[in-house]
Amino acid sequence: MIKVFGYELKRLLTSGLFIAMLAVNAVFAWYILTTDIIVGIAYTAPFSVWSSCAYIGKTLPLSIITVLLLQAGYYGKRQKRVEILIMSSPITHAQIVLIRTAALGVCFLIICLIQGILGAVFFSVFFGYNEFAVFVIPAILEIIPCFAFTTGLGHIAGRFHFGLIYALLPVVFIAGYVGITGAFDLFGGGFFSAYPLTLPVGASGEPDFTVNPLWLTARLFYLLAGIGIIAVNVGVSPRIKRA
Amino acid sequence: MRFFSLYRVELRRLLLTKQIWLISALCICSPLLGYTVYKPIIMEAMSGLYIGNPVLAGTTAGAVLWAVIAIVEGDRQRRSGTDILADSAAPPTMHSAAKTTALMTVSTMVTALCSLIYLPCAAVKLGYLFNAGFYFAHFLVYMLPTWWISILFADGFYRITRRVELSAVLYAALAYISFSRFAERNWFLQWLNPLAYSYSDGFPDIWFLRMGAYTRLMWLCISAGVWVFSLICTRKYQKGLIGSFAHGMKKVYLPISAVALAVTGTVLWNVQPFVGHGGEEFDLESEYNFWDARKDITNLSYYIELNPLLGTLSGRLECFVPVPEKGENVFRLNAGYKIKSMTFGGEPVSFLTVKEDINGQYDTYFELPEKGGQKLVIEYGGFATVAQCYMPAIFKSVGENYIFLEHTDMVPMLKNYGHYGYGSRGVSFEITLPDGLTPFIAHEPLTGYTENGDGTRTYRTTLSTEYIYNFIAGNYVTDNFSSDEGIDFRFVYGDIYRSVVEEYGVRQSICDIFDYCTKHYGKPNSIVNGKPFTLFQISDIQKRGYAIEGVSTWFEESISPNTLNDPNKGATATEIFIHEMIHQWWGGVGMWCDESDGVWSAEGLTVYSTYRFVKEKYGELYAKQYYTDDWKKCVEEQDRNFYNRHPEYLEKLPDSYREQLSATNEGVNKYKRMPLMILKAEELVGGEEKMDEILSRMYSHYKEVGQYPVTYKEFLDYCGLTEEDLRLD
Repeated sequence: MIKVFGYELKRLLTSGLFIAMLAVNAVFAWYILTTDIIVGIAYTAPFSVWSSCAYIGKTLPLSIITVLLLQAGYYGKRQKRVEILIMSSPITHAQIVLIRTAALGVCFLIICLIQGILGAVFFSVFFGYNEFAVFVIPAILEIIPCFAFTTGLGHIAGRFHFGLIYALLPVVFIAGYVGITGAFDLFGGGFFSAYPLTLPVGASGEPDFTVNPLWLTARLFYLLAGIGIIAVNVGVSPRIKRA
Repeated sequence: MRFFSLYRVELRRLLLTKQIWLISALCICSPLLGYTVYKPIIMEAMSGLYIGNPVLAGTTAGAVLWAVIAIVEGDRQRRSGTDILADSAAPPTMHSAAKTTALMTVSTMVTALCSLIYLPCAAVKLGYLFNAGFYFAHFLVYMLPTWWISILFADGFYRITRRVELSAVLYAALAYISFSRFAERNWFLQWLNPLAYSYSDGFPDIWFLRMGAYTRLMWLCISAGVWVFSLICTRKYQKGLIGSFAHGMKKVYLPISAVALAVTGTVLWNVQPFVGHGGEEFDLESEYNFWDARKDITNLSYYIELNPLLGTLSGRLECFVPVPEKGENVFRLNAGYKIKSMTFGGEPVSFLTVKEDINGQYDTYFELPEKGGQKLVIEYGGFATVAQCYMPAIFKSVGENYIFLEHTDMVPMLKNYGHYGYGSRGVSFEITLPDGLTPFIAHEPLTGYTENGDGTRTYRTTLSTEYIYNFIAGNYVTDNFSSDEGIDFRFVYGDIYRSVVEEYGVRQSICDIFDYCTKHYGKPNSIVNGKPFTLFQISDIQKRGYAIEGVSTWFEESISPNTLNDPNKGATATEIFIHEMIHQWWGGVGMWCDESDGVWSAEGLTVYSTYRFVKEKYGELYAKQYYTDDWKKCVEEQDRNFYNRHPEYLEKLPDSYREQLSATNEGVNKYKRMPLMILKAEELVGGEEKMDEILSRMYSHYKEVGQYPVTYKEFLDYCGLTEEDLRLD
């Protein structure tokens, strides 16, 4: 299992697509930091938790697009040609789905980590701010449900037709950048830009960070829905078309 | 020969492909987005609504669609596994070129079809404003080249990467740059969504079309460079990228062409004549401190010739210099102009133009021989550059239908020389321009002219000063009328608005505003005795109005039928002309305010008076919605801004952001905070009548005492209040 996981991970990490997209993600993250975040989100400090969450929310769609592009490779025509061979090995379909999801998860976390490091460098160098611990829990709440939900959707879409994963890309792009501001904003960029404006201003001159219960419910929903979809993928084996 | 036969085959194949028909249909539908969701033109000129928006929406959406098909078509043979066969039948590089050329041909056909399909709609909606040349020029300048650029980029990226997803990502990244914040100020980055900001119906101008054509040419060069480079990377003999590239380099003409095209594009970018390279903030200090006339000149003459087709100007300044200034002499001129020659007493004078952009102008340094009593002649010309700080308001334009130029866009401003006999001998001024235009100099009509017989006229006049405030020419009509309070008006507006002016009673509205202010604050001192007060309409492409002594301007949208028919249009177009007229009471031409404290300003008083007029005319609810609520919202946002709360972090911001924040704060202080403070003062002094009385007393006192800037403290003294009382919490 671990050997196969290692192989899958190596295959993804050394692919030209991942390396190119990692670079694109890093450039994009820096662009967001130096254009949007530097001004401060919803009149809060650029290094506030609100701004940090908005930063993650604004970079997440591209990270998810990267994951979906990598995921499309698992359902492409070339992959299908070798699928019969893989299925004839002792490894089960459930294991394959989990291994691939985990490998995609590692790639996703690497991208998030790079973006996180860039954010930390930015906050530290520009503003001398180094208390990053407060960012961790909101960040986890933001990225994990988002990954679970979209990867689950990607698996479902890929099983029907690999082209459907590509069809998900503009959906993700639009959902990420069209400016959804409600608690069910999958990525959080819109929500964290708008929600602080509705809160009372605290003693510091900006609203204190609080986790909105509805947003938390939405995250839980996305997480459970994502896990559910992945579970369905794990449980139901696809029919292999023989040539 | 081989290329053309391949091209014919590819074109025929494409025309038989269902995907191409689908994409073509979508491209033809894409201008519909311009009527609904994508409206880049901010002014509501009819030509913007029914030509600009649809064409620009179709341009952008269609470009993306063509990019998709270019990548899909690029991948088609590889996808079907026939690439090896095709490569053996035809040279891969030539085949690739033929495919792309065929795709560009189809996009050309779709552009032509698109322009014909939307023609009836534009013609009917615009009616007598419709100009077929202007309409088709949009498709030729914006749509077609942008689609080609998009195809070249997408096809180039695919050929380099040979991966659909990678080429799509590269294209998306490039597209993102076009819409990014970088492109908001660096207009030339907008390769996918060409800049066209405002249109004018009364004074149609092709400035944006000119810039569009230039930027399309620039991006065509760059994209063609990328595409030719990609031809070098075309995979051959089952080799990878590097092997194929090495092989492709053997065709020396390919790398040379790629580099030549990319270099041409870059050079075009750097030498673009449209937008200046200066700062985003107007350098007021440099403008005010420049002129320092220590020496006299006599017999000053300006000779100007305009070429509306090319948008260029050529001019000549002649003057007699009795005693030259010792050492370095300077003159300032629009940064787009080149000095052709300079002579003193017939002898050439060496000069040096320092390319440091000051509000869209360059300074040229020269030294004159000590021997005076000679004639100085400066010849210059070129395309007037718009200063970066003005953009996207186009304040310099030489077109067939509209001309707007300010002093240094017409003649050099000599730093150390003043015209001898100011106001008595006058300055000779001669200008040649198309015969259909009515010219005004400093808002005064030019009358004496001679017909040149080639569709141009030469106007000659004598100016009382060497400084030309501005020169405007367009298809204007002039109305003269008087208000109930006995104020005489000269109302200058576009000929096409004649019926609108009649139908909507614009003259009466003008009289109402003046009568209201005269009744509340007294007769404006800016009205020069014996001269009518001039109200001057300027083109929408200038996107702002201004007021000077005895003259108020507004841009044309204020009296366009769309604006006057829209009941929801508050605190914008129409009310801007109210604002500009009220400046005759408050501002440099009315009561001058000492604005050094950053809040107290003539703008604030003008906004407050506009609010009061609007409240009386349209009711309290309207005034609350569009004025007081808006002021409160903006002031609250300003107070909440992190950098305003923590100015110690300001230095962390890049200069452009700092400038932007400073400009925003200045605007909010003048236009929102101060009116809100006056409103608070109004409550504290006992209501509107009391405040009117105070303002009237202030204005009368100012008129009696003379020219001195009224301070915030004086206003507080008049109100009997303190700074603390008016602090907004």
